[in-house]
Amino acid sequence: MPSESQSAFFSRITAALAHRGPTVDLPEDLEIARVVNGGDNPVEVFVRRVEQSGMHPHRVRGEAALVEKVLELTTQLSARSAIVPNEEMPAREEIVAGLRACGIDLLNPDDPDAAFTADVGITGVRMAVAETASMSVVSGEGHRRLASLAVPAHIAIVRAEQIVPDLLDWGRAAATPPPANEVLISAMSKTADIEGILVPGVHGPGIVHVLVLE
Amino acid sequence: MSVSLPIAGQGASAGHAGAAVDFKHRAADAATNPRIAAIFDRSARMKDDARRLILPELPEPLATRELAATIKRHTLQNLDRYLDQFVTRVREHGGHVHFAADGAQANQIITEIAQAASARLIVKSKSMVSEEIELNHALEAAGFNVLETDLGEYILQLANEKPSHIVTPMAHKPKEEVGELFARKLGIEYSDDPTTLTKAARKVLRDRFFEADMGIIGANFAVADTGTVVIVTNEGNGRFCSSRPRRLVCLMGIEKLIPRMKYLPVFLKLLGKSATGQRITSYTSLISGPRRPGDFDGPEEFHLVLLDNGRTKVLASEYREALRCIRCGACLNACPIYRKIGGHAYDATYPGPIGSVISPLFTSLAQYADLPSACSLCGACLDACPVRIDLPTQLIHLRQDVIKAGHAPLSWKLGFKGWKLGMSSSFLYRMGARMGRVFMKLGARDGWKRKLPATGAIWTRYRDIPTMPKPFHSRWDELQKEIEQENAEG
Amino acid sequence: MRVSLFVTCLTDLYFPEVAESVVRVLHRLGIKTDFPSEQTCCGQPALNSGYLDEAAAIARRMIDVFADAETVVTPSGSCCSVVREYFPHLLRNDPVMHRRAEELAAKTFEFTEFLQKKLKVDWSAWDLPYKAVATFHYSCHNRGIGMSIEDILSLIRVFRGLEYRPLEKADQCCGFGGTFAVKFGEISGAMVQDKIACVKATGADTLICNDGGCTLNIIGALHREGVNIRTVHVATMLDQAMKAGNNRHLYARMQGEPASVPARACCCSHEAGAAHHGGRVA
Repeated sequence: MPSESQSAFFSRITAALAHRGPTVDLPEDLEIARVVNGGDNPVEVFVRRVEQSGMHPHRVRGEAALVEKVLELTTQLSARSAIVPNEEMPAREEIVAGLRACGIDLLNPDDPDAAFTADVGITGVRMAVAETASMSVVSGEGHRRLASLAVPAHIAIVRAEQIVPDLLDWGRAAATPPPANEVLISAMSKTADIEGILVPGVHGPGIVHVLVLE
Repeated sequence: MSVSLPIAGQGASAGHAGAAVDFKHRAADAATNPRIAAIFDRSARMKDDARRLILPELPEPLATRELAATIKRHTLQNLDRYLDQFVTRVREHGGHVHFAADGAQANQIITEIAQAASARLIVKSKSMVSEEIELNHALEAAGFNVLETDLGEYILQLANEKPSHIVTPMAHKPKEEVGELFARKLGIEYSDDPTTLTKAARKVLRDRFFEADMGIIGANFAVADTGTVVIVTNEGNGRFCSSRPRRLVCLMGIEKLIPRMKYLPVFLKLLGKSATGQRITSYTSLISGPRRPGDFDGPEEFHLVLLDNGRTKVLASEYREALRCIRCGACLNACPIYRKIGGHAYDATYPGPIGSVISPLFTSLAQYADLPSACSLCGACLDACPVRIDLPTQLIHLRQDVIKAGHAPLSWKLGFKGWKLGMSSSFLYRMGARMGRVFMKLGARDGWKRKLPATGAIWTRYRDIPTMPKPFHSRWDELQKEIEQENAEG
Repeated sequence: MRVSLFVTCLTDLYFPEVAESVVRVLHRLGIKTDFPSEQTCCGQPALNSGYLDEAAAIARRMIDVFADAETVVTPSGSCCSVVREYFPHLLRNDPVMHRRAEELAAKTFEFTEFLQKKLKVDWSAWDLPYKAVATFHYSCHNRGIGMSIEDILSLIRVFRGLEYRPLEKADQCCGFGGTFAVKFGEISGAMVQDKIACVKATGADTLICNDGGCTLNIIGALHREGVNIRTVHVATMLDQAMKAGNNRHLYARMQGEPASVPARACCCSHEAGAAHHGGRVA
């Protein structure tokens, strides 16, 4: 390996910092950057901003309504197959049973290529952020990274109590140690590389439905 | 007709080879090509307007930017400590860490990783630092198949062109050209519809994501206390590159560090807004090493390649604050010069205001001696910068460095010595003014001169210059009398 | 209160009528102006070109010339910006001169800033007729002295009979940049052409421009293209309008001097590379 040795690499940095300048303290209080606080009704803000981002919010009361909405959406999407990872999500068993009853092919989450053929991926989230309409999905046991990526449509199920007001709150709640991968999904996949013209659905899902369970 | 300059990235650029970039001519050519200004003015202003529109969503935009600046200043001041912590964490996650003093070393390291992996297909997410070191070129020379997966970079790779902007790489390319390119290279029917073209690229790249055995990503941020690399994207290719292939390489400049995860939101709140006027990008990927035992997916191997390549030089210098840059491109979009000449004229990985500072500093002053002067010091860049880098002051200091390094013409040096003499005495100043006034009357018509000699000629190529009236300092006494008169009349 | 006029070399030599208007307007507002005759230049051309030793020498001289001034007012925002943002920086390694530079910076104001933010003139009492269809170019250095577009518009609105038309890309640099205009003449030329195209597009007959450099650049381009739009500094507009309107009863006399204005608090930090950024637009 042509790598420089760690000590040589670091000595050069330390030498560069021989003159560090007047001490700059690390600020502790970041609240000046806060956009949404607890009193702003985070669920309302989240739903509004999900819509603004181009994703589709749906508020549902109770698990029965949740399952019904999932089935309604998969029908609307003309989905013939779905991938529903074996992760923690509200009413997972009922959702899977319901999808089967509608004749939708439940692909095996343990097939690494399944997400490439599924018409829709259904996942839960670890947390959601009202400020930026972000949903945190993580890797790890039961989770499948591609279930919210390789599919053309993604249905995300968020419990209302999982919604925090601001990104600052999400940052403070970071898991230690962190999972191998976490993604904040804040909109559908898109690009504006060609002349600044917005095109949804590049490599990731072009359609994202966000179900907020209250 | 392509608007990109002929030199625009056909293979390795002269800039990287170390030869002095003839920026003056490139800039003059670009400035006199109205198509270039039309394209870049529109593209840059679209993003700049969007930035200005969305930034007030933050209750205190200026204070938030200053907060981000302070966090970066502290981090840079303690970079050795935070980098040490970061490296330790990455290793705890099971990642490998490599140290590259310069681009050549980084290329070698990554090539050897690819060789050890017998990589058949490498997929890359957008990374400016990989452009900086010409990584693709090195991997291809070693026989590897490297594919850019960000739509803009993919298109440029097909066209063998270089990016003209650090965030929106194909800002220079009209959709008709993309249509022609895809018809030629992908064998599809010609279309200039962006949706059709995007779908075509998606189809090709989707198959590649399926097969790829190695992924390469850059880093927007690196969080020291959790050993996490952060990339922000809109398309989803970054997620694929960092999830599907068995091996993942992350190439990162050492200045990307921030101390703790709690600080990341401050930057996430600023980056998307400053870059393209988005509240936040579609995806923020936080990658902390390879898959964990028991994980179903994710890379088996994670390689972090830390790059210096001139950064410690800048860290040691009075230009340290330039390392705060989060590569949002806001300064490019705000810059009236960039809007006129576009990115290719600079012949540098990093164009625009930030590029005019770091391009000479990362490489050499001799190579980019003219860049620091290509600026009217309007301050729009500082106004736009989410981390408040004082680019105008840095550019002034770089101009001084250029002079002290002997790259300034003797005539200018002597000229300013004379100027200083003249301005050191009000008598000489007034004398000079008298002479100037006489000179300006020569060849003037109706109070205007249409041609100035020597250095002044370029001024009069585009505008007339008025003759000088009787100067204010000669009118003072008379003015006093007039005022007393007005006083008396009252 | 006593104001010392810093005329600036460009205004002295090319637009003396602007400086005259400044003095007359201040006089009518009850402010006596003096003119330190030893003044020459703030050093901006040398500073901008990187000849920092020469610029520092001129800075020292100017600090001496204005040593006895109570308040300094200048009609050129870019020169004001040099004094406020760069004099302390240029002399940062000389503790005595650095402090004196800070003192000068604290008492130096650009003319429109002085009227709107320091004197806080109540224009509603004045009758200020000025018939024109006017647009205005936002000179770059307004950023450095904390004057936003809205700040300047608040002054433009005081004129009766003036129809205001916003300028597209109002705050985009006109391309002067001092020596930049000759070093990168093609870019500068393209920038000024862009600027006058926007000016023409407003249909205005008057362009308001409050900086000597911008004005020299823009009027030259307008004249070259044969565009019949007059360019005027707001000081000149105020001077004319004050005279034209019914205002004699408002002219302050020397005996009724307004309360003295406190010096602007200096906010500079002393790190290498730091500059004044009070009130920059976010």
